[in-house]
Amino acid sequence: MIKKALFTTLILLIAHFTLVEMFAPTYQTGQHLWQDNVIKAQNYLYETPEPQGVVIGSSLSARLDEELLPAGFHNLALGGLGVHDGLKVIRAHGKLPNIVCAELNLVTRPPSKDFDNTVFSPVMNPVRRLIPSFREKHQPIGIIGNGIMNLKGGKQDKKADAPLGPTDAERGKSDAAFQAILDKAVKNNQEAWDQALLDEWIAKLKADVSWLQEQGVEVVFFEMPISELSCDLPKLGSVRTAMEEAFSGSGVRFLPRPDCGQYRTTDGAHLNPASANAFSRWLTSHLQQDAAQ
Amino acid sequence: MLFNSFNFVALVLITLALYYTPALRRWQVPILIASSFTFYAANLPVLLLLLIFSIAINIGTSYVVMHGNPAKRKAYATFGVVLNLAVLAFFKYAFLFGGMFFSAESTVGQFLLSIPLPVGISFFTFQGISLVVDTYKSKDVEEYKSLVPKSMLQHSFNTSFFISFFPQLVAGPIVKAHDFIPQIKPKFFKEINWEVAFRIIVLGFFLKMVVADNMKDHTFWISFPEFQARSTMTLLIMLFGYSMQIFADFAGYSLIAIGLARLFGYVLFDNFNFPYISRTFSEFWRRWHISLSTFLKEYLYIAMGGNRKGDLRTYLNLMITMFLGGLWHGAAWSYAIWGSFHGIALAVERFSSKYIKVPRNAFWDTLRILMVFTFITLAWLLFKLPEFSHVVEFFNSLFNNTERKTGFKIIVFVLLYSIPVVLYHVYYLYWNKKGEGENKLAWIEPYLYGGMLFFIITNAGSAQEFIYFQF
Repeated sequence: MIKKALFTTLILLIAHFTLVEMFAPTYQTGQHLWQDNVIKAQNYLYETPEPQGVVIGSSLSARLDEELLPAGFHNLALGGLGVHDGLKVIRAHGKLPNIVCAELNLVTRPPSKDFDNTVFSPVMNPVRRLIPSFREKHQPIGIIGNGIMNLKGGKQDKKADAPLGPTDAERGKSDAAFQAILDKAVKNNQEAWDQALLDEWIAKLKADVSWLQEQGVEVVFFEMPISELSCDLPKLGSVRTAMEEAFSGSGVRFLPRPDCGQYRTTDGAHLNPASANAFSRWLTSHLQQDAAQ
Repeated sequence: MLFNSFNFVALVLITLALYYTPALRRWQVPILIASSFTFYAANLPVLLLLLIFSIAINIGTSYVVMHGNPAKRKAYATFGVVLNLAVLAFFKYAFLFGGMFFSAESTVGQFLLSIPLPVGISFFTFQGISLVVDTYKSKDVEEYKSLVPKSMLQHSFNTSFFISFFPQLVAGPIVKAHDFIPQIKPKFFKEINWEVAFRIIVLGFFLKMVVADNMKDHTFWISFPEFQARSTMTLLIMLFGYSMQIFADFAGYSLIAIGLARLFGYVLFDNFNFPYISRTFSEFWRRWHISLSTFLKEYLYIAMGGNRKGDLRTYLNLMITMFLGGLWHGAAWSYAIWGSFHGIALAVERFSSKYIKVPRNAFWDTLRILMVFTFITLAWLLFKLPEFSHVVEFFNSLFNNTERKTGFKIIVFVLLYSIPVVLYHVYYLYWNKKGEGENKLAWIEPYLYGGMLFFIITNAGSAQEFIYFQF
């Protein structure tokens, strides 16, 4: 019985390996946010031989459209995680990009041990590098489930050229549930970050940034726009001030503050698809402008 | 140390190699004790002292109960049980009860908050109590007399092994002294039933790594305040998924523990017996976490009089047993409420069964299974949302979020990962009806296990501690 079972496993593994090599699905196979992060990291580590530029950050910048970023750029922003996780992935790659664009909104978010253990497992990391069928995006249930989703036709329309729609404040007036979400977001942004916490995480970030600069990588910080109702509140302001002070004279660039009134959010923080595309273009134009200068 | 970690696999392989080395045969028990201590200390080494202290309490009290002054047996046994419960109460419930008198900001409150919750304390404390009580019962049960040998050294090794045996140390099954200690003797490599161990371990890892560890990332959105943004349909499906997850997580762990114990020559009893096909609540509690329910029945319910003191007293005994059983799960009132719900259900069921006779046929059986499953699933919410106010909020969202957009992706994956648990129960119903000799599907089993192993390798979710580690 055991021999038959083990033989069955071997046949299935070979079949899976072969099918992945020949017919790897072109659609997204991540089952949930966590897995999307791991897939993103693994794609970067194993399938990106020459990264030109990388965006790192949280779920805020994860909404940026990679196709609208400068050529050769990868969006390594990770939902629920932050710049510190992104930096680890960059360092683990082996070939550094020319430029790293880091979101500054949530620099105090600590790196995730679970993400570390999964992506940088000392046993599975080399196995996945060698055998693509062991990578997260080739999990059979992920392929099947997302295949079912594709049949349903649930893929979101990018609405690249869709009008932005009403501002968050205007929308909140006619949608009580959305207003409640905005109120919560405003409340969360009322207080500045604790200075000691900011200092701690910015110091760690500085160490990583210095290392990148020593390797010839250009580092650019940018601020993701959020709801216009929260944009000028103390929380975001305290991060920006602390970051600009800490990195003053270090050769790091800060892109100008975006005009939050030009963007719309889904929940007071995350940009809706049209706004995310608009900001992707804004980011690209500023990066290209600065490069030309 | 998680069962699905490389460190744990290394520990098991090294232990097996030493354990079955012929020259080391007489050291089998000390080898397992050393491995068990290593396993327990991996998380927070200082808590090993607590485990050793708990073992020492039980060595001492059970020894004096058996070999001390016969006139003081009851006193020694009572002392042993109370001491075990005191340790459990201090480490697990100090903040819950202290919080009723001291605020979290006060000095006492801060101290209570700083007390660590040792992994597995609920399990190994109960095993210690089992030893003390069984030793006391040896005055009436002849075979229990051998539980405590005259040699204190031998007794110390046996007790240390019984309480700390690593497969079941931190999340059960809760093993009773009279079931385990008689098994302690030299074990031989050729006696391992590899096929049985293989089946149990593969099934355990499949339920844990493929079903539970994946499902948790989809039922995550039942947490507060995430559920407030979800549609009614999404919430219902996620709740169903959580029911599957908690079964897969706990049954998976138990199976791994049972399978590993088999590799070392020890038989631990089944802890889950297809609980979701239960037609009644009493049947559910004969199929779910069997080691806990039998422990509570033997050492608490029957000790309080069981059903021998009239109907009202029986209902009260049921309520108290389930209330305490609920509280055992965690230091939060939501667990006590969960236990009380089950106690009420058992009492009402017992009462109504005298007057209402439900016919036995496919229709009524299915209806009863669905009703029991629905109640149990709704009650699991108290595990996912320990704050009772969040449970109320959840039901509010459940009833009011009918217009919200349904999360099809979550629904698709919850249903996909539920299929194995559903099929597992359906297969049991089929096999049970047909009888083992007539099981025409037996030929498929090697391929099923091969398939499960394939999914364990290619489709494991991100590792997370077993849900029951928190107890």
